[in-house]
Amino acid sequence: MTAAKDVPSALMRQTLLDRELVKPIERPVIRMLPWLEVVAIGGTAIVDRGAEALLPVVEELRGLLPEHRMLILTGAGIRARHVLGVGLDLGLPTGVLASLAGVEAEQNGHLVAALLAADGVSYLPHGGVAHQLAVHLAAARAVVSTAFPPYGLHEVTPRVGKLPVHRSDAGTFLIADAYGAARCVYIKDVDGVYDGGELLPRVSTAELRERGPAASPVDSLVLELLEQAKNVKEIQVVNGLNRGAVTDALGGKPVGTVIHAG
Amino acid sequence: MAVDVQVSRGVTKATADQRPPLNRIFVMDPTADEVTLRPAARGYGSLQPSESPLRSLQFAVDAGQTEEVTVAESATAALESLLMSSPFSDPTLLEATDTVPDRRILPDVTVVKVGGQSLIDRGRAAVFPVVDELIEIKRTHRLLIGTGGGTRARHIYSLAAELGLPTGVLSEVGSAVAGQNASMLGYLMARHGVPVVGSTALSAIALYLAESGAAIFSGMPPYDMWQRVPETGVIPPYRTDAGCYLVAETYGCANMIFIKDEDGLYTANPKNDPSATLIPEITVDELIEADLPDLVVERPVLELMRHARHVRSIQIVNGLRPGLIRRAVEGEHVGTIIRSAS
Repeated sequence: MTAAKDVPSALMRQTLLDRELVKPIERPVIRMLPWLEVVAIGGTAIVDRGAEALLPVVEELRGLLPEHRMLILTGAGIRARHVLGVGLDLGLPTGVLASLAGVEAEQNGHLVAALLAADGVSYLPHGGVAHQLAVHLAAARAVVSTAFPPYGLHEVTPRVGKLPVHRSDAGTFLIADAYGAARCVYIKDVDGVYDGGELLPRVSTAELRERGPAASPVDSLVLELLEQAKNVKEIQVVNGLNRGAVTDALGGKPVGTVIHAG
Repeated sequence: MAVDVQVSRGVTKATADQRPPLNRIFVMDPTADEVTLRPAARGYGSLQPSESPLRSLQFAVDAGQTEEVTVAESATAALESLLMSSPFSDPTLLEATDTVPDRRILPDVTVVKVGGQSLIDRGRAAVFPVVDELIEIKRTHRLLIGTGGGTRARHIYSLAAELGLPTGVLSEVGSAVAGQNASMLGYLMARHGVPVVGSTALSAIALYLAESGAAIFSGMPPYDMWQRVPETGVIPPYRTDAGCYLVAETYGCANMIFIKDEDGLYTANPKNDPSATLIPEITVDELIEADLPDLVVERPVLELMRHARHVRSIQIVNGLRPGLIRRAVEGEHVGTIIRSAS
């Protein structure tokens, strides 16, 4: 039998599965866009509340444009829950459910981009975010996209049940870490993580996990991703219903809760 | 045994002129057979026996009528209400999604993955017989043919890693290699009417399969910059094995076969360890327990299989031995079978 036609490389003839053999190519991962600030607007937390909640957040983001270069991501909300309900009732698989729910996050992105259009902000689909983010952010201070990652039909099999696990919170973190972003802020409708009646300014992923899944303001998968991440080692959760919270977070002020790997 | 239950008002698809307005109740006690409603409501129902701890029934409030529903329907109602009210982290909600019967999208299709390094990089001597065999099989079976990367993927992973680039970039550039292999297979199979479908055009495969009996796709999942990062290093953990497997699982396909250049899974890499012995059959748990230093399929596939609903076994066969692919497609055990559970 003819031998394979190889291109010489450190990984040549490997399965890429032998842990020892893959080690020699390990290097620190560069931050591709070290100035990038990723800001995720919660679908249920903010967008679904309508003008009353969303407009002040958009206003704050507009005010931040001169000083910050942002990737603004939007989550899905109640419509995603509805379409998941219909899809589940029809017996459709997780991969299809992920595609259906992802559409809702995209639509929320189009709404936010429309509100910021006059400021030069446009909606970018996944391909644009993956391949042309740098040029878009050289032309504009911010772009809007969906927080859902492009897993779609290739969504992984969940440990329990059928709901897709790579949703807005995970998608936001994955793209922030891939670009080596300076900051990753989640705009939610809670102040952060509480210990009894007291808001915690910082909490580790391990501490948060001990408090159970209900205690975390972000999907528990994000805690796992934070621990594996190459560059982004913390995220900040702020309450978008409190005026000025988003501005404070991007200004580096202690607001909300910082969740860090550890 | 009587049990008090919590009554919750959910969103219902029933309209007033079709059926009386419905309330839903959730019963978490699997032994309960009689229900007392609180707060007081004019209605009752009986619970169907079920394996699931989560059951529910619907009842009329105003009309005084009662409506018994089957377990499946009531589970759907419970689920719908939970979906609208519970966080996605709620274990009751996650469990409720399991109570609805699954529907396979392409139940009679077999997914075969043609290895990049193991087959396509060997050129005509290895590829032509496999192509001939697949064309022959598609006369009687419907095939989705996924492709691997191979030596060029290894080269660019190595290069990109040395440059300090993140996993997301490796995922994108590696994906192109599986795409090249898909297009080459496509040219070889074109005369038999087999198309290559892009990852965004997978929705058209039903037509292609019906018309031609087979379609070719690039095996890499479309995660791109959103690819999960590995514990160490930057090589994308979900590559073409995982991508092909997920296509099979999502479409609820009959079978997943990995065509490689070895007779199956060995205790070590048989290419560089002469003491390696073939493992004809093994479960995912046994395989994870064995913690082999090297593996014939990507490790994440094992985790995906553990939670799979449809594709609960995969087979690895040697594409260099004529006739094995057909036998595997027909369900024969000719290589290594890895099962989700024993």
